[in-house]
Amino acid sequence: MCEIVLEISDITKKFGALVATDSVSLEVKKGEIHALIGPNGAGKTTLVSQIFGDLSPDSGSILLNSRDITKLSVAERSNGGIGRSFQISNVITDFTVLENAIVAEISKSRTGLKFFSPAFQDRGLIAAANKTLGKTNIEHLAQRKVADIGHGERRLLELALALSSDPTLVLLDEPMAGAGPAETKFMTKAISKLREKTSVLLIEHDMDVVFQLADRISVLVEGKIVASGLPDQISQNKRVQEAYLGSTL
Amino acid sequence: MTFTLLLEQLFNGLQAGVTLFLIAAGLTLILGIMDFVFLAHGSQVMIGAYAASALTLATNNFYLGILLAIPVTFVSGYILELLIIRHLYRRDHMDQVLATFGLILFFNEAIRIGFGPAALFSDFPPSLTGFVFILPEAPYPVYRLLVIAIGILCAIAIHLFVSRTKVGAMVRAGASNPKMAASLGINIQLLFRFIFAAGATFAGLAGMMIGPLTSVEPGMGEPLLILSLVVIIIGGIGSVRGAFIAAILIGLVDTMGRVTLPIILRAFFDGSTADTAGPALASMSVYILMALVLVFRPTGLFPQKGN
Amino acid sequence: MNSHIFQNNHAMWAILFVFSIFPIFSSILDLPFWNDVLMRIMLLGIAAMGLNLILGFGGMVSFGHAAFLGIGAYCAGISQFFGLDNGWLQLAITIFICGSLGLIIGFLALRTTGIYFIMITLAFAQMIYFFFVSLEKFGGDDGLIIDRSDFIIIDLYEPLRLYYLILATLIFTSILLTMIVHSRFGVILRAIKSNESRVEAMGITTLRFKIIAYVISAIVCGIAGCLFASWQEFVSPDIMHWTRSGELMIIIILGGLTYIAGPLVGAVVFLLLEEILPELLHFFAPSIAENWMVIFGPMLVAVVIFGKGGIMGLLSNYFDRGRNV
Repeated sequence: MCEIVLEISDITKKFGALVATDSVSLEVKKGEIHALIGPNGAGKTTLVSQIFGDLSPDSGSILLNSRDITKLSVAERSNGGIGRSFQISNVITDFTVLENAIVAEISKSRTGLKFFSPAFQDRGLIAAANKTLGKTNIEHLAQRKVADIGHGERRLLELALALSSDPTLVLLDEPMAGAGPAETKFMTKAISKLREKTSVLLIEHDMDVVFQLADRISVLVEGKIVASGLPDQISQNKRVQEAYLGSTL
Repeated sequence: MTFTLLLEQLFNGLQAGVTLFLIAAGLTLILGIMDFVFLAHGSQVMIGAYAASALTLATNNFYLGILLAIPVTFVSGYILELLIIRHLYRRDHMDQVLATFGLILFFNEAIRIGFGPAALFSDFPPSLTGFVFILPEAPYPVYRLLVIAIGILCAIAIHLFVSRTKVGAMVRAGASNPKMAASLGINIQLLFRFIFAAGATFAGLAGMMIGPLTSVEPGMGEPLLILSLVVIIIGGIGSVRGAFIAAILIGLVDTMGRVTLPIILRAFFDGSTADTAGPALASMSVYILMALVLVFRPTGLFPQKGN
Repeated sequence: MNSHIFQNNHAMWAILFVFSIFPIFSSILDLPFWNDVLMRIMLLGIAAMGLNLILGFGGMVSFGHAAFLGIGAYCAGISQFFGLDNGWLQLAITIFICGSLGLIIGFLALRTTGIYFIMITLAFAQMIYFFFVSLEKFGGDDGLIIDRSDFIIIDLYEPLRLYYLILATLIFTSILLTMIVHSRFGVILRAIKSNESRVEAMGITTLRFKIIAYVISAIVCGIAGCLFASWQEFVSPDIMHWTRSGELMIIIILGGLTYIAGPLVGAVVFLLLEEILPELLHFFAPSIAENWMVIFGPMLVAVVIFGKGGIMGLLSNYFDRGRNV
């Protein structure tokens, strides 16, 4: 009954002698927020890069909705249903907020190869883009240049862009990085609402946020998953406490 | 084609290669460390050649002329960096291309105004006109051998400097990670200026040495600039070792191609067609080589930066 | 017709208007020489606009686009050498050859980025340059003297026919490129220039868009070259010397690379300077009048260091029109 959206089996990635990802297996179920935590240098970003397609694993497979995506490119995976927000906020800075959403909309509708009719004046596109911005309640910023909006607002825009294609899985790579307390609170609320629409793989340092949001948690240490389970199980797991959490819990 | 001819061309290729290396050594660091597209490096070659010719004429002594010309090239590089180049580091590549293109136009015209549009008289002294028998049957000009020797000495000196000295360590740090180097508290501005001036000096030296072999004229540096850019790209931007290997490779391919291609083509076409097509195809081969390298190794043979 | 082609594009239409009525003045003042200068401006303007699609709007710094100008010219020259005088057919050949070569070169060159991309485009251009130098049959280094192409209904030897053919091509190119830049394709292209990884993450195969843009710009440059051959009545490898690629970039930056009209403005200013600077020097310093580049070179450096956004940038700051394009 609980459908599996993302199934990673035994993926390994080496950089020379360094084993960045050591036969990692992981499952994200439909409608859950799955948090991936681990100390710095544990290989979280390398793992995410493989899920998203920036890197390809040396061995192992990645299934999205039971479809093998191990060999697909970034763009193909995105079209296959993965949305992504980056560790460092990554939006099109020369454009306005609305224009960013329009680009997402063109991608979603696969109409990028139209050469003649103007895009920014297209009513259909504007309406769809506004709807995308509505997903994180930032319609009021539509006409602002991205360069002029605040850091937290950029993160919300980024989240909206990640959600624009109605993905079945969203990868959030440290969405709270650099956000102030108020922004963190707002983002937490926005992310917790995502359960209704999609599944989330969340990489986050802020433990308060993780334990507030996560339905399940996996802990990555030195390229290996050392524990995986419900938040309560994780906070009581001895190995996790030793390896990572220390005495803070 | 006889063996002696082949041997002679091999040496000519070597001579062209070390000359290209002298030009490329500084430029690869300028491109790698400063991420700066510097097209006016060919002008440094020209400045070196003109300085040496003019000073030789003035002092009536070839060696003294060269000795005096070396500091001239150093100072010209230093001043150029101080006045113009340092304002351009933060600009994008296109701005750099444009500004240094403007510098090329300026230097070529300034030389034309100062020395006239015709080629300048330049010759080496009688003491260097002899031949050395590299094999019993194969005489080779002393002067060219000297160029090869000086080139190789310079290459060794540059290598020792980059790998053994403290400043060299800074240069290496800068080539593999410019941002890191800046954060290490290295006086980047001074380091840049030094690399620029030293690069200009070696390029100038190359110009001084090939002056008597080719011709000293306005715009003489540009074909060499383009070739040394090819060298740098093949070797990997920022890699002095890569530049050396690629320079010898390009020197040999270009020189050997120029001699052998017309001969090969003559087997298939009439003489004049072969003589026109041969050298042009040899020039093409250099770029084909570069394109092939980039297609298979998009960052050259010896990539410097991470990733 | 789409309104955006006229909005915020006043400079372009103003220049095109001046071009279209200029022959009246030149005939009244009896200055036929200036018609020639204007044709040259328009031809290089077309080529620069084509290049600017990838350079200004796609962020791809190609240092070898003169090659496509040259291939266009040789498409006309070699066709004529074999007795094919029809200009329309020559244009068709140009479009086909520049398009296919653009596809191949774009596919290979766009595997690299940054300085490597600048240099690989230069390498391909040098390859093509030396290829034509090697073709002794078509004059090699010395080039090929040709007649103006035969455009059937337009006899280019009648006065001003060539002028208006070039002008028509320029207007067509301007409208076409304006439409492309504002289209969905153009929006994606500009987004790629700003942040390629984000666009890729949205599910767009950015390489495809970059290659298509590269092909379009190659074709536009080729068309300019094809007409250039008729204007010059001569084709030689000189048209695609690497300094010409530099010239096209100068034109673009001088005019302002984020503006549709930028390259056109740049072409006007650049080529007028080329005519006027020697004249001025004749007046002030006759001994170096031939060496006008000694002034022009430092001017370029100054434009880069002090003037951001080129002439269009200055103009739009002055009129405070706000938005780009």
